[in-house]
Amino acid sequence: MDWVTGCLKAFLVGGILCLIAQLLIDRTKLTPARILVIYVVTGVFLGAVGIYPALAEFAGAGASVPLTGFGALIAKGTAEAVREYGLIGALIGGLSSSAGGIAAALVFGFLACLAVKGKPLE
Amino acid sequence: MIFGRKEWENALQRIFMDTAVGVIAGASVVGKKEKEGPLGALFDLHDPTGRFGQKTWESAESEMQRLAFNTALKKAGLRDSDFDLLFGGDLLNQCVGSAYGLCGFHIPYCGLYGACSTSAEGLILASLAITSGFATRTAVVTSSHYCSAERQYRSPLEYGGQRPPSAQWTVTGAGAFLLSRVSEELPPPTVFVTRVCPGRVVDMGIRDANNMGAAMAPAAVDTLLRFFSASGEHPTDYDWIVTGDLGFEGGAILRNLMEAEGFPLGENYRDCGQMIYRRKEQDVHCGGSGCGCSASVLAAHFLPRLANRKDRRILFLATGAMMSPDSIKQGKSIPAVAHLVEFSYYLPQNSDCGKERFSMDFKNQKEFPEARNNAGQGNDAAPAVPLAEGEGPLDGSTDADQPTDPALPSAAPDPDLQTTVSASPEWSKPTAPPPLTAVKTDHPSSEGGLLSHPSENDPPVVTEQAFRDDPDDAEPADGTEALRKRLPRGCDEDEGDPGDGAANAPGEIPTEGC
Repeated sequence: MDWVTGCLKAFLVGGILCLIAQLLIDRTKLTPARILVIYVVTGVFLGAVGIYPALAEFAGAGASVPLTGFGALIAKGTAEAVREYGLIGALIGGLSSSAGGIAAALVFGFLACLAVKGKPLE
Repeated sequence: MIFGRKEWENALQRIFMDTAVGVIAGASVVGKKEKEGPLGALFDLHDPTGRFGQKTWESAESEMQRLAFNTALKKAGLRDSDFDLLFGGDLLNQCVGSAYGLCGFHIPYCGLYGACSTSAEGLILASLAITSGFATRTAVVTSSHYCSAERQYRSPLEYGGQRPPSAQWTVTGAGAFLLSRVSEELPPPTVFVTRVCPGRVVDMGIRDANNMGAAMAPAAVDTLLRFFSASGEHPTDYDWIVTGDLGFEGGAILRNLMEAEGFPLGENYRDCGQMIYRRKEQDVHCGGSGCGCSASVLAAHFLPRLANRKDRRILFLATGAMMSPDSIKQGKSIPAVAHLVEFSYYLPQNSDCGKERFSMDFKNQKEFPEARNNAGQGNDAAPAVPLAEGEGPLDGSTDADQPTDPALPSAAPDPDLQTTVSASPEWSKPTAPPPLTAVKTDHPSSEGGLLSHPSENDPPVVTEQAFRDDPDDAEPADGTEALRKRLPRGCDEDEGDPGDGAANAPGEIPTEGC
């Protein structure tokens, strides 16, 4: 039954993160792009101070899939690269640690657009 | 006081102009969502895919313009070579939608950009081109497409961005209007453009591109106040005051502002953006917007109502938010403009809308009402509609032989009406219309065959109809309760007295969700 509780935790944490973003869209004048940036920066900050890794440990994909997880990943990669390469690692680590996610978004986006055409929501 | 600045009272600026231009046909083309809306049954053509047989959304928009214009031509039984000037406009960069869509017609073409106000802007310019004597017949075609407008102004559909509650849904639709000089040789029009009032650009500092209603409402207030002040009319003098696409938020703001300025909009206020969709079921947030919104609703709903004598006079006010994606990114506020067109199913008796108006010295505008009165007196013995010589279009019906049609709103009995519009006596008592037979037109019924579609493989589903006999049929009988509230008036019940005192009470202002 581990996977059931795991799914439940992921659903709750991921859902709360999305709920906050929905409230920001509905209740404030923030544009979607700004909310995305806020989420990434928040993730970087929480990752840097060590809160986000603990949350990811608890919720799994519920914490790592939302954009805050992307921010935390950048923070983690930067810290590791600085340890390995010195200060130049600050410029290397962020992209190298998130390269998998970025490349996946490009590849799967491309594959999806071969298969389907965009249309307005029903 | 922000609005209602009276600087024009002592200025030479012309506020509005009397015209006597006939609207001989209108046509509308819409997409799937609009077809499923409360007015769906009224539109002439639709395509459930929204692509109209084209590869791109932009081409689909052009195709909608072509179809709309073709349908209008078919209804009027005219060819493109019968037209002297064509005004087209859309929401795309450089107005390419109109240029591609209308390039197959051999008519001198003026591309317009007035954002969502383009339909009224085109109607104003087309009316003035006829009134000036340059053109005998002109046409106006405007369109918008949800999918191309999203790409143009926000982000492509594939981006899948969330829409905030104040956002409006760009209408996939196109409207075409054919205008004609009124004369005996030409087929008699059923509806007339009787006054036009171009708007000023108003910028109240709204920066939210997803809240265009709030940006456009002040422009609508400005134009309405200028028009009412200069013409002596009052909102209750009209069967409908129709705004283009203020939506629910902008409509509520307009009501509030107009009430504060002393011209409360009553039950006769409508907004095309509120009418075209079912708000809750269709998840359109604050309603529809776009050039196609006002154009298609006007062509499918309001003009047929006038043509069928259900309404007498309406004010049509299309509002436009004149922003570009770059100006928004640079943090600029959104300037807005609202153009006003008055439609009527009769020409006002004693109106001096003929060519002699142009002999007036422009510096004499201040004496405009007197000048009109004098002209009216001088024309008492002349045919009721003093146009240029030999052009008495309406059969010279004088006051003596006015039929009293019990179905029409009575002219004089309402005291409110007379007090509010005393400033312009020749308009204050709406003279009974000329004999209906004199101006009745049988539109050549438009049966299929017109729409030879270029793409044989993927023809869009098109349905077609002429001006309907009874547009009320398709009013939101199956709509939501809220929508029914907003469209309460059946003019059949003869409660359409424009001076109805009860109409003065400001109606329910829908605010939830915005």
